[in-house]
Amino acid sequence: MQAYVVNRDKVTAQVIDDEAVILHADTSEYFGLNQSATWLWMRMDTPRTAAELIAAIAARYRHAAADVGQDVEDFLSRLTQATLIVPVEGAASPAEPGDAPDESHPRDGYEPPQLVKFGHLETLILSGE
Amino acid sequence: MKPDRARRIARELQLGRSQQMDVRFHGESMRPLLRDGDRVIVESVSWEQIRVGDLVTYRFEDKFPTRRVVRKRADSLLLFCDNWPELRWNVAREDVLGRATARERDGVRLGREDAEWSAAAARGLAIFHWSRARHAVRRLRALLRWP
Repeated sequence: MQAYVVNRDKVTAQVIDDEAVILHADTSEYFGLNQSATWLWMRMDTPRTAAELIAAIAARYRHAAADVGQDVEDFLSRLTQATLIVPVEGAASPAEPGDAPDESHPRDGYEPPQLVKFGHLETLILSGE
Repeated sequence: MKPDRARRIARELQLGRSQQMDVRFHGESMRPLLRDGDRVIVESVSWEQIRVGDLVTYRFEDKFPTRRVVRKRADSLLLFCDNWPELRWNVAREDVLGRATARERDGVRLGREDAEWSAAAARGLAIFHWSRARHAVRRLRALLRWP
C-alpha cells in the first residue's frame, strides 16, 4: 500500500500558531499551510497512507470520511507535485501515542487543507544598512 | 499567515538549514572589508565561538544585517559598522544567525585565516575605541564648558 512521508532531504518546516511554513532547499520555494493542512503535515513525519490521513482528519473535525476524502487527496497531490512529500511503498507505520484520532477533543471549523505557494527566495542579501 | 511573516520564517529556515551559506552583501557600511556585491560565506556557529572582532549576521525584522562585534555580554552583542563608527546596535543572542567567515570579490577569496581579514578586524575595533574616546572627550568638554 502506498504511503506518504515528508521529503526530509529536501524540505524544512516551522510551525507557528498551528500553521506551517515550508522551504524547499532545491528550488528555494516557500509555502504555507493552513491549520488542517499543518496537522496532516505533522502526521507525515512517518509514512501515512491517504486512507489513514482521511480517517484521522475526519475524526478530528467530526466529519464523514467521504466528505473530506477528496480534499485530502487533492492536498496530497499538490504536496507530491511540489516534492514536499514523497510516496513510499509498504505498510504504514504502526500507530503511535498521539497519532490516534483525538475524538475526545474534536475540532470545529473544518477548512480543507490548503497548500499556498508564497514565492521563491532569491539569493540571500546581507544588508549592513 | 501573512506573506511577509511567511517570508521571514522561510529566511530563517534557509539560514538554519545549512551550516554554511553563500550570500551577497549589499551596502557600504562595512567598507573596506565588505563592499556592495561581494559574495560572503556565513557559517552557523555556537554562541561560545563568537569573539569580539567577528562579523556576525543577525535577524532584524525582515532583514539580515552583518556587523562587527565590539562587545560580548552574557546574552547580547554590541555591534557596529566599520564605515559608520558613530552608530551602535545591541543584538540579543537569539537573533544572531551566524558568523561571516570569508568573502569573494572578483574571483579572489579572503577568509578569516588571512592577514587582511584580521587587519580589518583590528582596524574596525581601533575605530570603535577611538570613536568612543572622542565621544567621551566631547562629553567631558561639554561638562566642563571647554571650547
